Amino acid sequence: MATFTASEEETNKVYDRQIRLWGADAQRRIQASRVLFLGLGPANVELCKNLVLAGFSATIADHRRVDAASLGYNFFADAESIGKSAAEASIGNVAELNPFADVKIGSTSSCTDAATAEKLVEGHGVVIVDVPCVKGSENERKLINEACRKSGAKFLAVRCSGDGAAAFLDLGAEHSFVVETGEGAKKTTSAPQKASYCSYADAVGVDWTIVKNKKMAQPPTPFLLDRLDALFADRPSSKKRSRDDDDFVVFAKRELEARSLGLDDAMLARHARVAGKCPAHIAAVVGGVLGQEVVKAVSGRGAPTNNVFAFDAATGAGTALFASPAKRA
Amino acid sequence: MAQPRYDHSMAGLGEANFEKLRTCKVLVVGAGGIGCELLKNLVLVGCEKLTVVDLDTIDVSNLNRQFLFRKKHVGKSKAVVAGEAIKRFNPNVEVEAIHGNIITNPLFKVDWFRGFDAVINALDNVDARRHVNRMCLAADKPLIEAGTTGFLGQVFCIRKGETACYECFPKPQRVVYPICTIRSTPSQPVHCVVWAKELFKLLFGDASASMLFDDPASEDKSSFGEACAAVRTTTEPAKAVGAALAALCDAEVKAQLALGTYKTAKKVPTPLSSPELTEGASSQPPSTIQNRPADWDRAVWTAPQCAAEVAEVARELLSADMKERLGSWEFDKDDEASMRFVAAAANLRCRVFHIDPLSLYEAKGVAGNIVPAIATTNAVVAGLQVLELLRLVEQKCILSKERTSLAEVGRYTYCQRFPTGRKCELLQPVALEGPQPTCYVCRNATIPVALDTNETTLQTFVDVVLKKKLGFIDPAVDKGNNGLYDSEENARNLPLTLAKLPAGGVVNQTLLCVNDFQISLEMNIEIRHKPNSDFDEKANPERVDILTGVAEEAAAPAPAAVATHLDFVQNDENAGPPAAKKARTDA
Repeated sequence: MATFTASEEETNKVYDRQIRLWGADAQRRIQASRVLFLGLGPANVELCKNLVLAGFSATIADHRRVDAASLGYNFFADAESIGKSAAEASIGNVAELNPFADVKIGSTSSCTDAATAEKLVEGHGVVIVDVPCVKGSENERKLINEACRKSGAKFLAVRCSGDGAAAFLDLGAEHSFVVETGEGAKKTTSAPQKASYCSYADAVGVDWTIVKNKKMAQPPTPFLLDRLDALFADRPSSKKRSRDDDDFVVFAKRELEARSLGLDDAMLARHARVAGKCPAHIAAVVGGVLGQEVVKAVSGRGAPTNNVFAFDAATGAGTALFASPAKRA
Repeated sequence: MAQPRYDHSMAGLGEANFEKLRTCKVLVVGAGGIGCELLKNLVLVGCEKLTVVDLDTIDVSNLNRQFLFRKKHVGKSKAVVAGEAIKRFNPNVEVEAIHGNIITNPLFKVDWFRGFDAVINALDNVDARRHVNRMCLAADKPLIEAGTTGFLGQVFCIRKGETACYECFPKPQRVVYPICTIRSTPSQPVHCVVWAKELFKLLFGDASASMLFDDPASEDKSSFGEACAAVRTTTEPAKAVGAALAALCDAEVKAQLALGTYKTAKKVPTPLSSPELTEGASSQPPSTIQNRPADWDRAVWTAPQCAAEVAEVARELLSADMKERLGSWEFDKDDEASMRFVAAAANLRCRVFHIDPLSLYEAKGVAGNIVPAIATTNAVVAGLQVLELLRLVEQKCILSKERTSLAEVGRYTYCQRFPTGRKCELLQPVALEGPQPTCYVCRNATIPVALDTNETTLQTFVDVVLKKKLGFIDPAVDKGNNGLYDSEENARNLPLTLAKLPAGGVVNQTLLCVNDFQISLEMNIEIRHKPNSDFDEKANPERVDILTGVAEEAAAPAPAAVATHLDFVQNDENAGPPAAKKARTDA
């Protein structure tokens, strides 16, 4: 989608309220950055809206066909676009959000090898993965993440359900940022600080039981549910299939018990019903929080969350967690 | 059987609760930053009956976050455009969009509020929030409140009799600057900005209403009165402006210095150079330079440049097609001329008093009370509001009284920019407070009000205490069974001082009952006499104390556990309730 060259004075008028918040330098960095939305899931629909409005350029990569159910979260598409690819159905309305941002369709939207992953990621400063949890999605996340670490792109992977969401961030082995304190005339900016992020593979490889903060008996529910979903999707298929093999609740209880963790049956049963069914308001909360993380990451202002965000829709709590083999900073 | 578009929403709610949500009548107050996000969430999760009210029109600076609006909509009604846009997201929805003021429009009576199942606020000012709070209490309808400022936000539920209401905890009052600070002893840039706005009023607006106006017959009138009045009728704007600025920033300052006004002052002013101002007024203003850089508005103008800008504005406002508006100009931060004038005049005033002058960009932020705003914070908060709505729906029935704990009613959720507390939360839900016994709005507690009963007139009491501070619209005041005032009768009592009112007057310890049927509000006020001389004029220029505790003299601080309620982010962009802007109706 072509954009016209606008004078900075013109864009300043539209971006005025946000420039007053994060400054002209941050705004320029945002406008020079392109985000790859890999999968237009509920969170990415919101992130797309938030980031394009802010001035980021966007590549929308999703070839899945729009169905009636996705109209419940993808407000860029409408009934007439049922059957089209999500990217094609959405791009017009995304571009309209901000005539100063460049928005295009990604030619590929999935990968199963490193070379494809690298090609996908190329040219983007930020990559956000939001695809349903199926067999192979964990592996895809790892491939994309490795490509990002190689190219220096910031990586986020998120998945929402009817219970909440979990998102992983990897801003690189050496992410530099400054911290601002005070307001107005008394504002001071620190010297550049560094945050070190582990890879996605490392993050999901840690012992779940340590992924919690003080005052928590065990890791937050949305984190556990997310990891259980991932394991369940990649569960080995046995020749002798019993009913239980495909029962999420049975599977989950087994995995939790093995780690001396527990979630009650009713919650697990509910999750089995609502996994993959994210209502718009949960996507909005998650897309908003993560959108701010992306702005922090690209502008280099404000300490970004390292490295997991978990949102529990039952309690309304949104928690930052550290899932890494490294020692907590 | 619900449509496939509701699959995701229904999976979490179940069929029965989803149906309740679908038929729920929801009122959304505000279609701006939070409102656009809220409306989108509501129609997507399945709310099919919505009413949205907003008094404002769309401005280009809204487009970075109010995503239902496009450039072509600038000038049109926010409520109307938003209402149309969301129909595209869900064609099943019935939207009633009203362009109007929720406080003053006669349509929005208590009975009208009773017609809804839930009310959700998406406002940006304290006055409207207070009003909707009172209406929802009167109508006994759940209210879901929210506010955002920059990166921070808050969401909470208000249920009459079960939770604290919006006014249970004192909210920061709008700042009022004493006249002497503005006219004689500014110490901060904001004082100079206010001065500049008053000067704008003096030169081009309702002159006699300006803080800088002096009765020409008065003995100690300022020396700049005539020169300023001359600007309005001049045929040579540059010359007249130069003379006025010289009078304001040179002659008047010298006069005050000679009178000894600043003998003991911390900041002693220095007069500006008259020749600099008069020559500057004829030079080229920075705003008219061709191919100016994109950040021209971030530069701090010199004194001559300021004079040039003021002269340029005068030229514009005195031109043939603008002339008829002289006498009725009002400052508007979105009007380029007003803004350039205020920036330039404030800059000159700062220079006189050795205060760091502001650029046009900075002055606009101060003059317009601009609150920085982004899409993401509004998105989070609006998502949490819908979460609260669903929790209301899931409790068997929206109007159910069967609750066993406040935790079931809802939460107070803080949106942070960084992980906070031991739980490292970016979204922090905490338990809701119950209604506060000292709340005069929802608990009908008696409010002590301290003022000088010998000097304060009933008119001032009604205007400043009842209407401005306590939010009454059309109050009636009784002392026992004696009617002291209501807008239809007893207007003759207005000029009397409180102590001299009939039925024994209003003196120390008098109990008054104030009623407003329009908003179903009744309050008991205990008057306490405090002589004007006992008030700190600088800190409390209106000389009224509204005391929240019953026994203490000073306002009781809120208990530490809920201290954060005081930090409620207001996103109060407007200094006062704005008039409904006339909307463009062309397609």
